[in-house]
Amino acid sequence: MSSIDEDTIVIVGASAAGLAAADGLREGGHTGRIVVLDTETEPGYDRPMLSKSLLAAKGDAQPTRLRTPEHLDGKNIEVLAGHGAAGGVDIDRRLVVTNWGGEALRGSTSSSRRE
Amino acid sequence: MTARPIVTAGGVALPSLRTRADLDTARAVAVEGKPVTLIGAGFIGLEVAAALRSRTVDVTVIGACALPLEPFVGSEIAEWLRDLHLARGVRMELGAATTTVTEANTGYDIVLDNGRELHAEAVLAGIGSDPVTDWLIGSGIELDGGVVTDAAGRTNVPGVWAAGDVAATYDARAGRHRRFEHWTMPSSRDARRPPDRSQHLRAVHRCAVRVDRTVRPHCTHARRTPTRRHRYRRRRISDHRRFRHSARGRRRIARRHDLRSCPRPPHIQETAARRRHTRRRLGAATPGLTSSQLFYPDRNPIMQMLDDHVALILGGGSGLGLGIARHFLGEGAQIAIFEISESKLLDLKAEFGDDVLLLQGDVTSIDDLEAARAAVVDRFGRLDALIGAQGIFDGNIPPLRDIPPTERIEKVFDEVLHVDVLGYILAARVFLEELEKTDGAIVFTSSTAAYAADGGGLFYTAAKGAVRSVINQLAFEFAPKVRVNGVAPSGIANSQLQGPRALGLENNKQSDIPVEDFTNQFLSLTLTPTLPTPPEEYAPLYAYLASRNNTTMTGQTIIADQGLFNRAVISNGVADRVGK
Repeated sequence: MSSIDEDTIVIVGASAAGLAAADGLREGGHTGRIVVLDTETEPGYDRPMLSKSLLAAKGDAQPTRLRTPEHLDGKNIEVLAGHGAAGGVDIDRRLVVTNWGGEALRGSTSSSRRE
Repeated sequence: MTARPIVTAGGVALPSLRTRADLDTARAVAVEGKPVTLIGAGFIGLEVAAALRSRTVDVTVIGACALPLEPFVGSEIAEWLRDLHLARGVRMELGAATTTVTEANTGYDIVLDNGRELHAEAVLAGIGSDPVTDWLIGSGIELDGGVVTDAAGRTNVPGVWAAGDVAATYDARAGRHRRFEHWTMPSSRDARRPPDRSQHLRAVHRCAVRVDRTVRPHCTHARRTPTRRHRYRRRRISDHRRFRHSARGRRRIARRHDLRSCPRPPHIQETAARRRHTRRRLGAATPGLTSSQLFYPDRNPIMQMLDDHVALILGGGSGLGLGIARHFLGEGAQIAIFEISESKLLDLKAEFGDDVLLLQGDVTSIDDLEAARAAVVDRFGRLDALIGAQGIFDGNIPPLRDIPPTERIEKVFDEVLHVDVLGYILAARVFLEELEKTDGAIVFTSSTAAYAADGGGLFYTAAKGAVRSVINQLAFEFAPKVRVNGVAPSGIANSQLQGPRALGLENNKQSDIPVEDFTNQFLSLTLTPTLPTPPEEYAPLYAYLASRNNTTMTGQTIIADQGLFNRAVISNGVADRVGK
């Protein structure tokens, strides 16, 4: 249990919807901790490009990041890469359990998931 | 979302194009310049085909529908799409679903359901994607293909939202919940939502904080009593699984796939590899946490031996029984402890609080056992495992030849065998019906004394031998519903085994034998390092036998003898090795 904080919001999935939700929360005035979980090691990239321009292009250009690290730092959004929520959600105790097991996060909300 | 897998006959999931890693795989294929076969003529399949063609890769697309994307765009546009791809040199195999993909020497052999066989040097799969919701099964959040939400993204559980293509959002125009998988969705639909949603979130925070602080102000872990929510959650899991596998459920799932795209190819529904894959994914997603997982967070918090088991431990107040109780909690069980000693019960209360159902009683009293049964059923609603860990011993009385033939022999016999044998038999009888309802398990405690001399005094040895035989017979009589097994430990550290009251030896404890003597004796004999063995180290054997994992053993007693019996000659081998 890394954090027991009623103001924490856990977002499962760091793709377009998850990151839009995180930004939306900050814009809407949420000041508590925002943690975004994603199973991938470098999450938060523009997925549709994969099957289009990126595959067509020669070379090894990488997909565009949806948010820069500076953007995330600026908005104080924590992205935990390599952490899925395979452990499930316990609504009673407001817990999201990651696939790392010991890392159980407590938050008021678990939100979207795109993987 | 995760790419819907196509599994080859060799059990390997073919690469798709959903993640960064997939991109690297596809690029490697493009660089090699080998002809590529794409299974699936949907958005992804056609896009990948177009991209690869622009790099002059030879591309074949296999599609189950007669025209690509026909269910979405209609036949006119689908025809145009097909011709466009054909004009750019994409080969099309349309109107036939893929039946099997088998590894061959230089690539793969693909069999279609119209009988055609194709050879492919490289294969990519693009037959759609599935929402990842396995991890939410049983959480109480409503699922139906995706996570069901209202128009604002709220799920049925306060404080939980879903957005993006995992969300089956209520669509007022359609009058039902729909999921959208197009990449414009998260940005176009959700961009309008955040300010409004944050208001909701803040309201929910306040609500959640208030509930947490007022109703359970001191609560660091949840109570073990099943609340309505727990029961609801259990029911949801079983309902969900039952439904998915029922004829109606399968039809509904199939219909969903029909609506969304082309019918799912038959090999994907049915192969053993697919079933294994699904089982692994379901297995990895244990719904929710039990409070013991929070209570003992360092003990494997995800999959535990006794998740969703209710166990009653007879004689769980100290020694072996207490070790079993602690271990069972760590393994996720809900437990009740039956104990005769008031003072031990006070200690248990201090250690476990209300997490454990504590019952005072005597194992030789049918009334006490029946009262315990009523209390267990009242609190937990059922019983999955009965653990016998109670016992007394002879109290270090001298060998039989040194005891005069008086009534004292009879008294010791009566008392030791009453607690150590009759107690087990009575409990087995009293709890039988409850255990039959759950296909439960009984685990009794025998001893190495049941198998060889000098494991205890004469009466203790007689009692433990009897327990071993009782296990044999009850396993036979209670089959096939209830499994009956035993564990035969040897020495136990800090054993609180007491002598018989009849001789005034109730304060003689087995652990009164000086630890050093005990240990030294054992060291020269045994082969495992921890001596004397703490009760907790025997407990995993009980946990396994008590759990639904044990489907293969009944009527057996596991001899946990630390290698003691594996000696033909008593040399000083081990003592030398450990430097004693």
